[in-house]
Amino acid sequence: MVEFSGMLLPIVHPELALLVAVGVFAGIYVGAIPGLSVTMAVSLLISFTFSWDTWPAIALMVGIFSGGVYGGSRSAILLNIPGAPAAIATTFDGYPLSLKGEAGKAIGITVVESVIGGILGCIALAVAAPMVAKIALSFSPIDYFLLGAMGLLLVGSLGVDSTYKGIFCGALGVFIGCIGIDGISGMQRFTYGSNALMSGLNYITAMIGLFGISEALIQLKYLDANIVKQKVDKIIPSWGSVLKYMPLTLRTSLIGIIIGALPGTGGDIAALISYDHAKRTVRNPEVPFGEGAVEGLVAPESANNAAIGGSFIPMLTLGIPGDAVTAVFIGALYIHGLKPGPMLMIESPDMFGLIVGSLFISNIFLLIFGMTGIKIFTRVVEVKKSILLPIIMILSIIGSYTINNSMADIFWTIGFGILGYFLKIYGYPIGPVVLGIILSPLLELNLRRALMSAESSIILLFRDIFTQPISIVLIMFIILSILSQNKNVKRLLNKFM
Amino acid sequence: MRLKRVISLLLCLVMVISVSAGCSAKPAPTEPVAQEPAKISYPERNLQGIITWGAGGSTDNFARAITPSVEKTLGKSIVLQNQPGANGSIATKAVYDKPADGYTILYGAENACSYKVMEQSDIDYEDFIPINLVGRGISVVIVPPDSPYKTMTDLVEAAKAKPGKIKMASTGPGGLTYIVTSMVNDVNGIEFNSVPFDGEGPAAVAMIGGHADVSILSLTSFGELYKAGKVRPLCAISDEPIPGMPEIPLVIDEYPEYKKVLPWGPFYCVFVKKDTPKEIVDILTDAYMKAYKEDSFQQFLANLGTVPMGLTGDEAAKYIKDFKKVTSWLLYKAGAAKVNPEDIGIEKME
Repeated sequence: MVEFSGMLLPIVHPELALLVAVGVFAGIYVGAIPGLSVTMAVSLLISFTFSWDTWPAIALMVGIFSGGVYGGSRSAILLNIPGAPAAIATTFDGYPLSLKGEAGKAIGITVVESVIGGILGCIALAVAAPMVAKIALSFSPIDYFLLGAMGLLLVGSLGVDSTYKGIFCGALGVFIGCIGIDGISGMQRFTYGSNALMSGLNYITAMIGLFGISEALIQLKYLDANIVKQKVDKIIPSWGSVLKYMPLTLRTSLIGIIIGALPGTGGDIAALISYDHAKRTVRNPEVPFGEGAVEGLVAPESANNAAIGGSFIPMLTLGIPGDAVTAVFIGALYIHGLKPGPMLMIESPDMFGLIVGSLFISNIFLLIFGMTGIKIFTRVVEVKKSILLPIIMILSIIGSYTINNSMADIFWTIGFGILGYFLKIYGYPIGPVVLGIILSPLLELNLRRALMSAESSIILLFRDIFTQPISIVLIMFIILSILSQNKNVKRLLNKFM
Repeated sequence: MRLKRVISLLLCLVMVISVSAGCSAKPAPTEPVAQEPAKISYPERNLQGIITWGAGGSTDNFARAITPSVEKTLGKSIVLQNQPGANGSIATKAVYDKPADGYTILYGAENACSYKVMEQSDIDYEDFIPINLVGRGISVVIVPPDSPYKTMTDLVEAAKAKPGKIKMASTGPGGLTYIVTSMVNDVNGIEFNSVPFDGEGPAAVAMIGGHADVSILSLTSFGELYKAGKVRPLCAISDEPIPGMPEIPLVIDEYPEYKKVLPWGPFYCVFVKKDTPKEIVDILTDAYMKAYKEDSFQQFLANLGTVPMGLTGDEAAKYIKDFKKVTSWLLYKAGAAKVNPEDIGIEKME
């Protein structure tokens, strides 16, 4: 049923491969700049490639997608500022490595893991698309809620010295996520009659402010601090280490593919849940999580690139976007005269092949471009702070403006920057705040949907949870995650494993 | 090595400059419109097109599909910009705040028709002149292929037998599916267990995933699913057959009482601000009509599942007015809108 000849298109037509390469290259830079998002880049390309043929346009867009998702990790590692929401989890262990002068090593491992994750996602798309689509469709509202709850457990493992501070920050994030028109009843919440607040706060402004601006503000205190010289001699990780992390890579890639394939969740949630998974399952990392554990890079980076292949699955099999970027892809297909939907694979099998082929090739280019230019990139950290910090500020502002071309977003970013500054000074972690904002609508709306489906009866809701296979699996995961933190259970587990 | 550094620096510069150039394209200080329209030379500079929804949505698609041809006719660029948020009212306000000189075009959808009853904005399409209402969507009642309901009558009878039990994948209050559901509830006197999803796409997903029994979606969001046999249409909420799909029954065949609210359907329309000089409105109307008639755009509308209309001037304004009337009353009766439509000058539905 799958048209394999289409996958060779980018090889038969070298100009397509070239466009993929250009896309990956540009994507890495777009992704590395906080606020310049892949979604934005791809939607700009729709206008730009309007007069082109469909194939080159799609090839270029796939390239940008792949490069951009990876690119976010660069600034996460070097500056503690995720370039995109999917790279938030990468800051947790990437930046500590950079502080130790091992940014080169960190970038090397993220490239390799991104490529492996990306290729696994691509394979899943090529051979298992209909099956994965079926799994994704059977996720009911309560399953989305449980997924969000799993993500929320991450608050406990975000390298916080005080659990209470972590919970406080997570709750703050969930609260911020509630602002705006409520999607179920249409009531305005905490908007105080302001038009700008009606559609809620964009979590990217929170991300840029809390990570970007606040980091720059904090760094102002240490203008004269010694600059950490980065070791860039051993960038490419050895085969041995890649193989060592392979089991984890496979698990987190699978998480990435499935979460990517779920309509409504994308690479950001995939990366966060994978990070949590790694932290819970890797027993003895060489370096503790949060202080520069390689596993803390392997998990989110393989997952977010695997999510690319995953997000194409519902788009190509059903015409339903798997995330924000594939939603734009669907628009592009319409404009180019194609009809995205279940018939697309039958009516235009070449398109399916082209996307799979381009995605595969994009990962090869990602490996090449990712491994070159690291020396120049790492030099960013060695730039004098008095030059670097203003640039970070300006990029953060530009990034927040470009989300919706709205001045209000700039003020929110600055506000979040100041909030983040004080949170950091008093030892409150900012990760849980962003996590809360991202998960808040997923949790709240789906819980309410599930309750409405169950005719507003808690009993029926629990009946639903314990009669649907996916819900049972998810709730088991949650129970195990909580239990496994108990000392007695831990001892028991260690005895058996 | 040195060269590399120079190149990367240059690249960064170019990026920053190009992005900040985009930023600075903020509302220019409102220049007084030239009052002596003896001879209008329009357009003298590039135009700006504001899209009420985000990139990749159907409003965005329609704007990007029709604009290139208009640019050719006018001989100037129309710089398209998405200003999503607050149900499109941010973009609508943004265009309203610009001078009425025809240099700012609004690409809108039906949403503004409910701003006043929903208290979302004081500005709606009455403050604008429609240039071209390109088409309207048709909502269709759909069920999963294995559903026990074979006709609309089956569904209505079942809903009457167990009120509030049949799960309807809907959208949030004010959303299209919400309004059509209110219409069905109102006309047929029934009640569903409406579960709101984030939009029509997610509602379709929920229904084919088996998490809802029925949904009412526009052709745009389920047309391809229908061709693939993933959903089964019960009837179209329309008084004329859907072009290309005459096999879908019409609701008026089973329930003629729908005639009082039809034709009704979400639309896509191009606007300029009220009080734009007539000469300019005429130039734009001609340019957009030419673009509308092009085969590629007609094909685009067909792919999108939109019924081509191509209304201009008063005809377009009348359609919008009727849509606003029906929608406002439905929202008010369903309890989503708190403002009584009569209080804001909307006449009663018969």
